[in-house]
Amino acid sequence: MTTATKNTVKSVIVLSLISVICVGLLAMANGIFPKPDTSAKLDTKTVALLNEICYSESYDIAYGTYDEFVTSFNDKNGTNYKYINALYRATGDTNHGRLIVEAVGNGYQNGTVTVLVAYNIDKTIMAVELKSYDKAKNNYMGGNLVSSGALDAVFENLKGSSGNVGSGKDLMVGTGATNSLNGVANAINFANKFIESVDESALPPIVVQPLESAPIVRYAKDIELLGGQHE
Amino acid sequence: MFFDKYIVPVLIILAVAALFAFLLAFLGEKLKVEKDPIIDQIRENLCGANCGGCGYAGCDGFAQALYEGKADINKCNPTSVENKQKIAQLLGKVVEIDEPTVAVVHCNGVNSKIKANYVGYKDCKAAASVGGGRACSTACLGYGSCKSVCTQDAISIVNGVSVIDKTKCGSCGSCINECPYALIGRVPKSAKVYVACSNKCKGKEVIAACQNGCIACGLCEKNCPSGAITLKGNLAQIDYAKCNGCMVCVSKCPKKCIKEL
Amino acid sequence: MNNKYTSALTGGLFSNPVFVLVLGTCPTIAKSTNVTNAVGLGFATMFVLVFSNLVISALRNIIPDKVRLPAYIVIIATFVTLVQMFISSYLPALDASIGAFIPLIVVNCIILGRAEAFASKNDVVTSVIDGLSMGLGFVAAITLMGATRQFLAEVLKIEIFAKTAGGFIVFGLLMALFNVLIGIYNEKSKAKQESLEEKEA
Repeated sequence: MTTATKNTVKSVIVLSLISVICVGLLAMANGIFPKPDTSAKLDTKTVALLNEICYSESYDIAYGTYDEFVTSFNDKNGTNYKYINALYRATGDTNHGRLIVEAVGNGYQNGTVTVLVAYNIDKTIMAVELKSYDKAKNNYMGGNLVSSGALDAVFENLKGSSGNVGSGKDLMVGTGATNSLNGVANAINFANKFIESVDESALPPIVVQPLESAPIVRYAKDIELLGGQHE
Repeated sequence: MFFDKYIVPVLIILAVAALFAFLLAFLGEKLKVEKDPIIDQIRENLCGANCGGCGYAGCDGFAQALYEGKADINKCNPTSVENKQKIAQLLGKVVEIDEPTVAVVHCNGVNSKIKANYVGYKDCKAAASVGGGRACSTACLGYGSCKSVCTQDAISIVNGVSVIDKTKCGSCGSCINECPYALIGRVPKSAKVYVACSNKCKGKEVIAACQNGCIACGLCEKNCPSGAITLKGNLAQIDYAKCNGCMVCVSKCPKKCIKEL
Repeated sequence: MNNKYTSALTGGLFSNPVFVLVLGTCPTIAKSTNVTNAVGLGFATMFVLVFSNLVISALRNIIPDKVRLPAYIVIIATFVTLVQMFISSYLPALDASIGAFIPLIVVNCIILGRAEAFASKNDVVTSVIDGLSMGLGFVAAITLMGATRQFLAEVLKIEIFAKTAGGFIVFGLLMALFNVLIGIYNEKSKAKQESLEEKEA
């Protein structure tokens, strides 16, 4: 074997070995590190927003991002920028059983917009609230829509509607940031689509819990973790 | 699950790594530029200071030029005599090796009289371009332009005058090119003395300008046993072929401008 | 012990990677908007630097010349990925602010530069010390930048310093100041050394 061939073989072996060992280590580390928690949470901010549109003394998450119902719906109908985050449920005496969908839609340059849509029994929109939006990409939202109150006007108009709400242009009362409104429209349309597929009788039973004590959050994943505890 | 999580990434990376390593090594051989190993041997014998005194782009360039027969080995001052002979052997040539030299500053003008205060960028060339400001027209200004180009850290400014450490100097010539008054010159490394003045003015003017200047009194010339030191143009000069290092001139000089190397 | 490791130990100060060697300026200018970001990114880079120096130095005689660069990059990228996993799992707040810059640590000039210039030519202990020193030097530099910019932008309310243009300005000024101080120190120590040598002579 000439030196040249020996060098080639040595190069191949050494680089392959280094790469394999490194990748093996990384694959193991991937298993060890816990996944970052990107799931929908029933945090106080969300509860405050829920209170705006569908007041109740308490809420639970009927379906979260770990529930197969949501993930399969997202896989079939959603994209990277358009998906359902959670289905909340009012569990207090007021608005008992009302459903609120948290949906994410894509707006300008695929910056995401997250909305909460509360529904009446007949699946028409009860109220809409903006939860968050990508400040960098949809920067018109803050100035033109949110602080000017234009977005609130839009949401007022939507009350009682059902079915496709159109696009940003259709939603807008007057002129404004129609591109960012596309995100809102996309999210609401997707939420409407989702609520059509929800069968209320199939939902897990309500457990009324005040928010102060630790809420039993209904992730399918959590039910496993709690050792099959169903209450 | 195990297969997906562990085996698949490893296999993918293994394939990519092996492919790239093979490409790099294989193409590296195919596209290699052939180089005669003698060039590396020549390069190893060179001093390696990369001073550029030979006029080539570093020692690598000089080695290449030597190999191609374009360069003269004597151009490289820092390399020792025996290494130069080894290089000559490698090249299969008979080369006469010059005696190694070092650079000296032909000025010892400590406290040379200031004619005008120089206010400006502290660089010898800059100062010289507006006249320098000293009474002596060849006074070392001491701003260190020579020091800044020396790659061997051999030059220091002592009492406002540039001094070269002969143990560090490789005689590359960078400082020689840099001094605006051409005060730096080469002397043989084996030399024992040198004239630390470059002023060719008459004695009276020299005395007014500097206390260490050569006034061309001739005492050195009269007392040198081998006739190595002579006066030319109001300045003492040493012929190193004749100098035997007795240092009588150093003791006889009234102005103390002949110095020990 | 004294001479062998001293130069590596003080490398972070006298050859500060940011202000003297001018390496790794991209994260320094872009992400030094406040102290939290700066410290987070600094320590992430330092972690990668130390461990990649260690591994590369340990393997320096085994890696053939032709695949040197790919091997270094693979090793560095592995450590960066580990850091990224750690940050996204345990430090979500930091992830939100500097998450996009963690992968860029792979091509941070400091790490590859030290790997080529130092770790590939020196033994493991010296390389690790160099990594620690350079890493701490980087952390100090980027934190100084972050503190200055945060102070100027939030306390003195000069908004430009929160933007990148202000970052460049602060960077240039700090670099000038740092080099002046180092220059003064060098002259002082040289004068001291010369007077010591004169006394001995």
